[in-house]
Amino acid sequence: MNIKRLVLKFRLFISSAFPQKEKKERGFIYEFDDERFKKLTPDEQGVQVQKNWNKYMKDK
Amino acid sequence: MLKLGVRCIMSLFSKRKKLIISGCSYTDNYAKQQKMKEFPIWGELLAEKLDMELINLSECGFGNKAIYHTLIEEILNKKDIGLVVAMWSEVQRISFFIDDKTLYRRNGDVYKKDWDCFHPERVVLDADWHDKFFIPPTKNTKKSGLKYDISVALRNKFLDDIKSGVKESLGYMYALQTICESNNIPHLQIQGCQPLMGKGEPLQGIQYKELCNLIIESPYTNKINKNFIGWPIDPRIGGYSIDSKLEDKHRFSPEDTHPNDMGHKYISEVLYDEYKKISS
Repeated sequence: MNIKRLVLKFRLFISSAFPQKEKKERGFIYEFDDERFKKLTPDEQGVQVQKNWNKYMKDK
Repeated sequence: MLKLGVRCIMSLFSKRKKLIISGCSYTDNYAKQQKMKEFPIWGELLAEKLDMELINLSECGFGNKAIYHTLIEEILNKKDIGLVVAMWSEVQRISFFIDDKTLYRRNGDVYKKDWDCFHPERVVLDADWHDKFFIPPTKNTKKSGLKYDISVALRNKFLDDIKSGVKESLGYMYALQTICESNNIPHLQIQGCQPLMGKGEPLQGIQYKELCNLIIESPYTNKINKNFIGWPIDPRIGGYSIDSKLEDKHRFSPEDTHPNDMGHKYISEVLYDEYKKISS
């Protein structure tokens, strides 16, 4: 095994000791059949739809 | 059409060198495609700084195969190339060459759409997410068509895994470097968006560890030169993508994390600084 590979393997090993940055969604995400969702402005509904989609993609 | 004609005539007599770039939505005019307020994208800013004529071959959604082939075909066809920049995309996107003769208007130009690219997992999950809008869900129109059928087939047979995507992408990166070097063409490479589709922990950590191990074990790892900014592309092994360098102020919103006007300005500065290093 050459030096470069060894260095990269060592870095990967060390990195596992530190949690990586993950952007977590803050706040409540509406389901679309929620009455409160229907009361939101169209702009806010758009944001909630995107949040809901992003969460689905991440969790599945 | 007049605008295109004028541009063609001007480029024939232009003595400026060419800046040839390709990539995905981080390189294409994403704001224009999304009908948002437009601003100069990094390719335009960099071309202005370098006083070069920009040839932007990128397209939102492009996979690495499409990025590689669009660049190589342009490089082999053009003279007076000042700089080539590849901004790579997600490794698991697949690209198909389509012999589509239809002409599209974009950015005032007429062009032919040669490539159809998509991320199989995203296509399938997106279709599943849309089930809630169809009663019964079996009527979901997102679950039909060639793109969906191919995506389902690839996923069912585990043909869209990280390993094949990484192997293929690293091969394109090294091939581009080799072709540019053998033709004495100044070039830069960088990973644009994150190389893998975003997932929650612990899955994300497991997938990125696999990505890193594949890079470490790859025969290309020792061959990629300093022209690849942020090599080996993941912070866990000392590299980075341009996305990992973007702060919140560089993005449209927490929901749409594509680079905004400040993000594109920042990217152009990073590339300009690196260009100065390789050209000095």
